[in-house]
Amino acid sequence: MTLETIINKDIASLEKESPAVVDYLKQYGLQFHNKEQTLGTHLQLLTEETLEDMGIDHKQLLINLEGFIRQQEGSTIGEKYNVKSITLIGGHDKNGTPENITITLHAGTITSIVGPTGSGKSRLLGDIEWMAQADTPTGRKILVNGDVPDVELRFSLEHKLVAQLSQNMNFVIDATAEEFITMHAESRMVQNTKKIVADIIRQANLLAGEGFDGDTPLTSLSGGQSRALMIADTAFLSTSPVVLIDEIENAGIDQKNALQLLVKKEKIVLMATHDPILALMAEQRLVIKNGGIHKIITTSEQEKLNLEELERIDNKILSLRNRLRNGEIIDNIE
Amino acid sequence: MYSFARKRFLIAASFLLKSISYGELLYVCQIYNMFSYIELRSICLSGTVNILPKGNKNYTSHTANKHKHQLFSTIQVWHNNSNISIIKSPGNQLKQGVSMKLITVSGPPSSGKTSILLKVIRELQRGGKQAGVIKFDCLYANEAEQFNKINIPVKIGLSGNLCPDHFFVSNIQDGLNWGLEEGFDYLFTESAGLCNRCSPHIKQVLAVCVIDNLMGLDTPRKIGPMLRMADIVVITKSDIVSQAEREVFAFRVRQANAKAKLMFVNGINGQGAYELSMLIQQATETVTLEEAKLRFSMPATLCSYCLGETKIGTDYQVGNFKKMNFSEDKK
Repeated sequence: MTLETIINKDIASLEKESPAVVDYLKQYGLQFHNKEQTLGTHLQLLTEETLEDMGIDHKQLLINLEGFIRQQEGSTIGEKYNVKSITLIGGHDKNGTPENITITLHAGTITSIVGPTGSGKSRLLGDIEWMAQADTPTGRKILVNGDVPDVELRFSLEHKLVAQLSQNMNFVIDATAEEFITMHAESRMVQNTKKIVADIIRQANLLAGEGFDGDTPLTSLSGGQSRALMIADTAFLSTSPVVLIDEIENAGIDQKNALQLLVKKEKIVLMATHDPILALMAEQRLVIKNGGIHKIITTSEQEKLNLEELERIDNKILSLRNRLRNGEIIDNIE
Repeated sequence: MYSFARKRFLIAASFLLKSISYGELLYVCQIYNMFSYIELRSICLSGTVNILPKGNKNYTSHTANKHKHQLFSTIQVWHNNSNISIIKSPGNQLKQGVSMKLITVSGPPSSGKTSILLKVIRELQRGGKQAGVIKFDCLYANEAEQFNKINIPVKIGLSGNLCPDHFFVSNIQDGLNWGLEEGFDYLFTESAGLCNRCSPHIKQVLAVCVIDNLMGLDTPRKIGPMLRMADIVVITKSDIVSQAEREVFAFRVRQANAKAKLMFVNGINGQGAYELSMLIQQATETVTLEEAKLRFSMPATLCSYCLGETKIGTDYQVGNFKKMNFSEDKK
């Protein structure tokens, strides 16, 4: 569907074939009284005065309309842009010391990022998001599927590389869980909105400690429920192949399954964390120091064994917490 | 009258000056204190005069004198015909090779314009560049301190009871002159879009619109030329809303402006500011705004209330006003 074909259709058939286009134009305050007129004639007949009231000129309106048509088709193109790996070619740290590393992150794997506050974790993520080509302060280069990406993709919404999930994030919109996820699905132009929305809410319920249903307003979800919904939504609906998780809390959400869901959806998961359980769930971890990648540590067999022990300790704390909640006395911790 | 006379003056001067070099022109004008150097820049950089290095050896005081007379007599004719006064040079030296990029930054109140500017200018400063800011506001602006703290010269303009947009456009050339005199590499204007119909962007001048994720998902549809005509749309406060809301918001911004570059910048920790500064470096240079055009007309009114009327009622509504139709639904 091109701009030209749309322009040459009359309003009545546009309303039938492409109601989204008509709705879009109505947002600008356009009114279509004569349905037999073509859209093109209709736009031509708009007076200077009407356009000034609408706050847009003829040219920009056409550009936006074309963008809208492309956007509708674009999200399917976005899915075709299949990111299987991101390769990071090292630059240098704050002192200019070379990083001397090349590391490839594959779809469906988890990498944790550790390092003190201000060590350069955000910059690393920034480099990936920007698809740096030695044009950021670190001098790093990013390859997508082994190739140098088209830098114009930096500004393309459909190809945003990084989706973020952090502890500070909240839902701010006044809508129910179902309404909002539907809105998100519609903006992604997915085919079967109803099913995907139901899947996301079911999945979020599996991850959250306490259940909730689709009618729950987003703003009254608990911290854990919000996080669970955000993760499920990212897994199913986000266009971005890389998911950054920043210091996610461990209360009220099944972290292990949350990560597994993202892995199953072929996301490249990056996790900035100092929680030993989360860090050891990753296949490898990047140690950031003084703005540079200082070390890459592959999670060893021993560490994986220790993870089990750590989970046992964690569960113990969790059960203590529950006892406290139920008004018990913590006179022994066995 | 003034600008017409000025235009004629510039055209004639360019014509006359074609035979002499930039350096020679400077020489003439400095000796005879004829134009401000800003006017000279507009003449020279308009492309009608070849810019040659200063100090042509063949250029003698005799030829300079001849040129002076030519210029003076031409100006004299215009002066008599058009009532303009000859502007005396402020005595500034033109820094050769200096060029300034003007960038208009606008956005709804509290969307993060100042924070973004502070971070972006810091990145530009790291690259050895100097930037100044003109902050346009309505009643109150206290950002000067924040800018001054990191050595950013700032001028503040308060529009008071005038339309801030109209106030902006009637001061922008003077603001540009200030920037040129200060010798900045970059001059940013910051203006709060106090109504959604604000239209501060100028053709050929890089236009940035700053909006934030907390404004609600319908906001991109409600903002007019300020957002729709921008070259770069910066989205802030992304760190506190969910990824899903961010995606829907950006999707709708894209619907409001199909061709702008969308950037997510964090005004608090500066994430994305470096990348934005890279885009800003690609802006074109602005020498003068005389005869430049706004990208879209500004909101208009010219009615009795503009002139201070406070009484309500049909008898008091005079001039350009618009009536709502409340009876349509009943038919």
